[in-house]
Amino acid sequence: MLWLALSLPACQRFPCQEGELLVGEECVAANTGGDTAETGGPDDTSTPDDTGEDTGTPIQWQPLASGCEPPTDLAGDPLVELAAVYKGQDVPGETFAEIVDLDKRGDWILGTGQGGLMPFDVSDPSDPQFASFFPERMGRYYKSEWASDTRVVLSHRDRGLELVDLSDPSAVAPLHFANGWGYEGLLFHEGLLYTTRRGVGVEVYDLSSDTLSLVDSVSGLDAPWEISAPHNGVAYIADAALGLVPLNLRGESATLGTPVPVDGGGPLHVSADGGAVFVAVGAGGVAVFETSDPLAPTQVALIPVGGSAVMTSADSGLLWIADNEGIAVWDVSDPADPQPVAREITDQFALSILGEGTQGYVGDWNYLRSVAVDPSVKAPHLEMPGDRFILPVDGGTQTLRIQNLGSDTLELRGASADGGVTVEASSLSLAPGEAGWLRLSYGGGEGFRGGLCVASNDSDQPLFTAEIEAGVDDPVIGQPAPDFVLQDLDGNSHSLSDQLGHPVVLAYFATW
Amino acid sequence: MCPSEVSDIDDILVPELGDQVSFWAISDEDPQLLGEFREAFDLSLPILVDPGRKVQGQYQQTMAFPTAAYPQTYVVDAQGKLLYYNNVHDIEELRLVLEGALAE
Repeated sequence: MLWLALSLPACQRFPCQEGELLVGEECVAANTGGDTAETGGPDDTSTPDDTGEDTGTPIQWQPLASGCEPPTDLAGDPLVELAAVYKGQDVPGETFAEIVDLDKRGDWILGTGQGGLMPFDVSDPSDPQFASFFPERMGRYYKSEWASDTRVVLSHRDRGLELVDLSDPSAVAPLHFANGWGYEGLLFHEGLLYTTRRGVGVEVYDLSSDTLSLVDSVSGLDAPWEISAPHNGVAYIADAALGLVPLNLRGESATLGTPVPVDGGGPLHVSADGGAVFVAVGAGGVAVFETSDPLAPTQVALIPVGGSAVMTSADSGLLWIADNEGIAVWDVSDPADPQPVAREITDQFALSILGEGTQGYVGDWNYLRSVAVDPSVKAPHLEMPGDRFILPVDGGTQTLRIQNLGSDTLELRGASADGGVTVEASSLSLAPGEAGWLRLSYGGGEGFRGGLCVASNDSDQPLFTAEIEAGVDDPVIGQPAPDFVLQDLDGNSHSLSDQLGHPVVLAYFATW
Repeated sequence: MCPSEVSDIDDILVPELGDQVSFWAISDEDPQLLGEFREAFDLSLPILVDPGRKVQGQYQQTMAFPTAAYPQTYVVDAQGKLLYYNNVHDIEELRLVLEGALAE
């Protein structure tokens, strides 16, 4: 059995558990990726194609050279981090950031998330300046949308919509709050705010008097998330159950077009750049649509991702993707033929992304990161399916699906592994976009816990390292639990050691 | 542990096993907010406040692969030893663990 390090995204209170989508009134398993099966090919005997499908071609396993030395002939790195602003839960007096959305106007980027509204001055992209947290009482915001140079609307799935004044980003002022439930996507267009709302569809608000005045609502959505920017008077809604739904803004009142199914999975996010529309579908990747007929978009490509695509941002022919495990940049100047530019695993979950040409911003658990890409630099990227692998204690193999998500040929140069584990590959080189397999073989024994190292010409990570183990029980289970005394909300003390004699469940939770 | 999950424990497991097992919800958030949350979800189990996640940190430090990600569910057995830990919400598995612990 193979155990992969799971990507655990943030809690989402409404309406389903993580990893599920609302379809009708039922929560169903979604393709949220990260922990999806990317190991053990069809039967470990055939080579996958670019999409990971079994090609029927038997694998000719090739041993990797013994040893894990960093190559000396690495290419440059097409994607570099310029700065990272830390706003973490362990900073006294500050709030856990968890930036799930980014929005930019002029020199200001707005992050939204567990830290509320978080404006950053990015007039110097290499030195973003954090302005303020606002407001903690609302908890986790989901989206923000500029309604003017000084006014911003925020959505909160459980609490409602809020209009704020951003004249002074260091002291954001609330203007109006509309209590409600199920709000998500936001689009401000020609003086009106369009928002997706679970159970309702699209609601339209007039903000002209610094209040949120409901003027229209359009039914016909099922599990809506984001709304894209409009093109030719039509915006697009990512509906996890229905697919891509055109929102026609050309008439006197907004109307919904016929939903278009998305090949790859249920849409979680949508963005647009000119006539191209990009739909994030979790581990399925990013579906690309062309909109020459705006009310009948046509899917023309599906871009693979290493993690679970949760957000995209497209500008000037470059598509930026956040997939929880990291970010990727693709050249989409020809939407029907996307080409990889760069791939980078970030230190923490990449939850949100915003691209402006070659300049990008990434929001994650604790950071706003500023990054820059140079499409002229070509480099490979070794995408591994996890960083912890468990082997059968009695001996056997585990096969890991790998991918080259970079822009140049990937070469596997060598490997080392503890426990006498041998490492083989289906191919020692992979073209850009190509997938293959690594096979770990263990001879059996009493078990071990150790490391795996794979050397490649991936300039970001020439030495990939992971933990491997066989037959090792979790050393913690069975050990004395750390004792503690904590007070409850009524002021009563609870001591763990006073509970000897019966079991105790400790359920760590968050209200967000 | 997300709100719906602690609510599941309170709604399902506390009525079934609450006379034999102590169920403690723990959070590092503001007590006033937690009070509003308790009211909104009509929770009966005690909500303990762990400022700065200090206790949670002690537990995670013992783990082979520490994480700050929620949910985190621990079961301490009658002898005060850690019997179970899960980083995903699985109320049925938790029920089986508790039933097994009570059968011993």
